[in-house]
Amino acid sequence: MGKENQADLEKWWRNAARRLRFRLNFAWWYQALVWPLLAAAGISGGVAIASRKFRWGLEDGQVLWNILIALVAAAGLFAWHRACRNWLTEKESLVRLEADLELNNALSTADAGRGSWPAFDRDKLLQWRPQKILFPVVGAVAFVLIGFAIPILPIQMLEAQDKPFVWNQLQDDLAQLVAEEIIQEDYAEQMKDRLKELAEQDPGDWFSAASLEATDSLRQAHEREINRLQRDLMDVDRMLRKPGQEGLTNERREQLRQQFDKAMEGLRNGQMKPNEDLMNKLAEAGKKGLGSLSEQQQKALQDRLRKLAKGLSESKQSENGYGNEPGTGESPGEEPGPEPRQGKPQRGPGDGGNLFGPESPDLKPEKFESLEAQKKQEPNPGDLLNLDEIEHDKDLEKKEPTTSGGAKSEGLGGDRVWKDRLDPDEQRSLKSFFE
Amino acid sequence: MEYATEAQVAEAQSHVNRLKEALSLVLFGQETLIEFVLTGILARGHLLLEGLPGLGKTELVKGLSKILVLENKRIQFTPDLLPGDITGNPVLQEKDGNREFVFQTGPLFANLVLADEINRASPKTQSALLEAMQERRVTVLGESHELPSPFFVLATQNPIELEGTYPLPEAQLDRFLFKLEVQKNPVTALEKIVNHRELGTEPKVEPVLGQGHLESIIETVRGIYLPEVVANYIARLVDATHPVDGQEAGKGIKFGASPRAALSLASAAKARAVMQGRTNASFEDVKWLAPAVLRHRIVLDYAARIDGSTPDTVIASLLEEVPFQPGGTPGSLKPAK
Repeated sequence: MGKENQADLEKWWRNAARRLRFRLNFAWWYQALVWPLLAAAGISGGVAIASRKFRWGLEDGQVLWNILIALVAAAGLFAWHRACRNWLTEKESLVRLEADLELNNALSTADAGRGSWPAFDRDKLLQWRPQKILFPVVGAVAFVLIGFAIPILPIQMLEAQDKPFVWNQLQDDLAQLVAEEIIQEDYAEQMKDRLKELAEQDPGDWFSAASLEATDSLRQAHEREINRLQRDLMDVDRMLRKPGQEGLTNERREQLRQQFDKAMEGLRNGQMKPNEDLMNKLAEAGKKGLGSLSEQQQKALQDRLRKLAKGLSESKQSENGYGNEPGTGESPGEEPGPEPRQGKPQRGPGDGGNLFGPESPDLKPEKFESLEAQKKQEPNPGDLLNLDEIEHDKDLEKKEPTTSGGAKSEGLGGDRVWKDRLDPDEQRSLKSFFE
Repeated sequence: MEYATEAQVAEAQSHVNRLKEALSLVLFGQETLIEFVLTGILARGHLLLEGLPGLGKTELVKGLSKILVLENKRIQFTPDLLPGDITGNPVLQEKDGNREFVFQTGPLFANLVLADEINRASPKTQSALLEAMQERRVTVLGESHELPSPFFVLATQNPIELEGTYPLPEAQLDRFLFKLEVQKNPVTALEKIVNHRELGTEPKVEPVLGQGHLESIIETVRGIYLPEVVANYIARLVDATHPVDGQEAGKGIKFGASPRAALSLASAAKARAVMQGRTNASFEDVKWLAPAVLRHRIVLDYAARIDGSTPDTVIASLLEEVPFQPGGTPGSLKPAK
């Protein structure tokens, strides 16, 4: 074989070895990559789900994609590190070729310069298994898609929607009382802090018995405070009206002044205090004496007091007078209460309605449908199995009246054995034995 | 080291082919056995032939001695055979008026020794062969005597009638290059035997190769290139015969093969390469020769024997499990159709 031909053959075989080497080494790398790639995709999908659930906002920008790329790159490097121990050198790929093609180590021999390169042969020894190649890629893409595409209700929306309704109602009420300058802000802040404490619990505990008890007692305390403030304001209003009337004795005036002071003390000491400006004006009027107020001043104060009382009254109505919103009460679709004080406590978010579609019209309590067993051997519970008459086991032997203490049967033991059951020889043997 | 050229190998192959043809006239239908025997001869190894009586073991050895034109001796091993009967004895002779011991060579002093029914001799006599087979010399009364070159022992034994026999010790077995199992003849071969042979007569065999030619072929075998990867495969294969906990390869083997087994495999692989007309030994040679080289060198454990395993089945599984090249194939690839 000519030298040129040998050079061509060498080139051909070395190229074939390179191709085989690349394919094998890539396959080793890909095999080592499978699980890290799936793990990276799974982690990315998980982070995407968590981000969407807890509103981290990672999925909106490039952050999550950067995380995914970084994880896949790390998986690739890890696979590289693991696979490189199996990688073939060019010499080893020649050996692999000659072993698989059963060339009797002709390539190694030629490579060592101890023999000639053999004639061309096929070099495609190995082919890809498509399912093993596609599975990890499809799996990884599926993980990422699941992370980004499955419908998830963000946990913040759950919070806003599902926290006990009374909390929102109390917050709105406090904000309204402060905005209309009916009460001082200290009380509102104090109440908001308590509501915040309740809200800071684990959302799973919002509807626990302890949380709902605390909510109820907070609402009741708020109502009590409103009632007390309203009562005290009405008292003060009454005190302001009476000193202006003519014909009151000094003793009566003193009595009215004392009652006014008592009502003012109640206003000062209560947790819910009326507007500070009003308190100052009332205190000033009390110092000067109730009768010293001009008619105009008195009227202005009374108007203010009535306005506050009215505001408190409206607040009370809003707390007690309305039913649950549809779908937010104890039963789905509950309508608003027809009258004040008909509302029900907020005991939970309610169920999600008919999850499996509208109720069947057949599901009515008055509509009964009997079940019939298809096989007699496999009856349904409650089936009537048989209506045949049963012949009871009766003792048909006629009985005659017997005297008490009398034994009718002669029995089979004792002397009867001796007389009736033994033959003469046995009787003789037994007799001789006892003798 | 001088490597054999393609021309030298081609010439050696043509001689070997003539030997094969001549031997196939002696033993019909046993081409594989003939190939093994010739491989063993070219690898300068001793052969142990095992088979039922009448299958042609002795005939094969006798035919081989005739076509090779080598001095051959036959020793019929019996329980009362003594070491001196095969090695030779010093005999008191009178020479120039003085009496002195003169060494009288035994039947071992031949190129080709047929040790018939070797397992019938006592261990003492069998042991007398150890030095001869390994070092190609015998020592009597402190004096060593070189055996002629080339020196081959072709021993036979049969696997039945074990009463009154002495199984060959492991050290002795290890000195045989191959243990060959002579199988029964197929019907076509039997028919040929019936047509061409007569009871009590021996086939006529013409000499084919002189001693000089044989030694030249053996020299060519020595010059065959053994690639590193093949040497590595031999080493891994022999190592796999030593059981390691947790590895499937070598399971059932109590004692594995010795380094002599690895040398034997390499030497036999080279010899087969010449017979195939190649300048290099290969994986395929090793795989083909491994059962003959290893079957008498491994000892199976009790459990494996109870399970019905034989050295041949264990070696077959070893060959399956030990790849030509370490590493294997990744799962995402499969052999092309």
